[in-house]
Amino acid sequence: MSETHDRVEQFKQEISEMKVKDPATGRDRVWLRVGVALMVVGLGVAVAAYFPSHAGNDLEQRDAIVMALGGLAATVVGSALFLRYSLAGFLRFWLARFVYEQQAQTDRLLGAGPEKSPQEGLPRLNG
Amino acid sequence: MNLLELREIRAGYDRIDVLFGIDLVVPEGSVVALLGPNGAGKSTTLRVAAGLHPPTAGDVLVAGRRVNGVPPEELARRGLCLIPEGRGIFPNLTVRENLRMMSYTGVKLADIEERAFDRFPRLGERIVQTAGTLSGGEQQMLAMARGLATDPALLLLDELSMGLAPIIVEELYEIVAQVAREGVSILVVEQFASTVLGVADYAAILVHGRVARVGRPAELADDLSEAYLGA
Repeated sequence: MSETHDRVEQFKQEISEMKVKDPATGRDRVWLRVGVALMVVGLGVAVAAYFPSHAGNDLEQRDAIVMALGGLAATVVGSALFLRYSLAGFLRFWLARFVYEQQAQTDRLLGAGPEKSPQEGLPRLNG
Repeated sequence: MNLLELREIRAGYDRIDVLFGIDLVVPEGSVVALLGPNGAGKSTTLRVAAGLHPPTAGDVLVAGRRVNGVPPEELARRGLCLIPEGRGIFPNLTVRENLRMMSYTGVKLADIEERAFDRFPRLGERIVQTAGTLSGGEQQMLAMARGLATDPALLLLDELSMGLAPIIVEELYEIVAQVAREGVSILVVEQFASTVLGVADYAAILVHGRVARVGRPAELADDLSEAYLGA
């Protein structure tokens, strides 16, 4: 019994030390939006950099190249963030659906198969 | 101390409200039965308590700490275990593989198996059998064995008796009583009250998403027929 008491005390301790995220902040959603924003802005910056890149001045051209590379980098980072936070949600549902379909498929197979022996729980042919 | 406390919980699915301000406590070391007719909101209450379903209002407190928004896996890792309705086992894996799935908690498979087969010797005889081919009672035993393998401090049981013969249900509730004697706090949801009331310290009757009555099992016996039949 004291072992269980220790377990309960440990449980209380762990719960009290747990970092509770404020659900109102919705950090995942914020990062998803940041990802989308970076993708769009980065692409915009890269396209905008195209025009000054035609300048005759070498320095201006270099600035434009740096700007374009920065924009592309922002797009890549944004895409990564977007994939990370949208795929996590999608895969969670996909896994749940997969498990459910497996369960349904097994139920169908069992329903179509031989009867089970109530004593042994093992398959038994009718008759 | 209350190991679980639900305060003014409201919850629903899409626009349909299911719970309308549930207040419920599970004191440390006790068994609380949540009874009520089909559709009363019992399973939703358990899902809210386990962190699987977000409440639209109200607070969920575990060991005195507000845990709204905490992912269910975080609560499970610390010792809150839900054994869901429909058992939640992997039907296409063997008994051993199902048990092995619990080793992610850091417990060795040998220890998990020892605990499981001590309580459910029948599972030991079926170790290489695919879980989907077990009888309903054995599947429920496997679900319980997996849950108990995590060494929970707070156990949530959903419709243990669903689809099982009365003799198997009695056998399972003997195990529940044994687990409760070991000091694990339990909240058990049941539609069929007679067996669970023999194990519970307290019971609550849920009707139309509201707690209609709370008390000792003996005090509630008369209210049950009214709750179920609306008489």
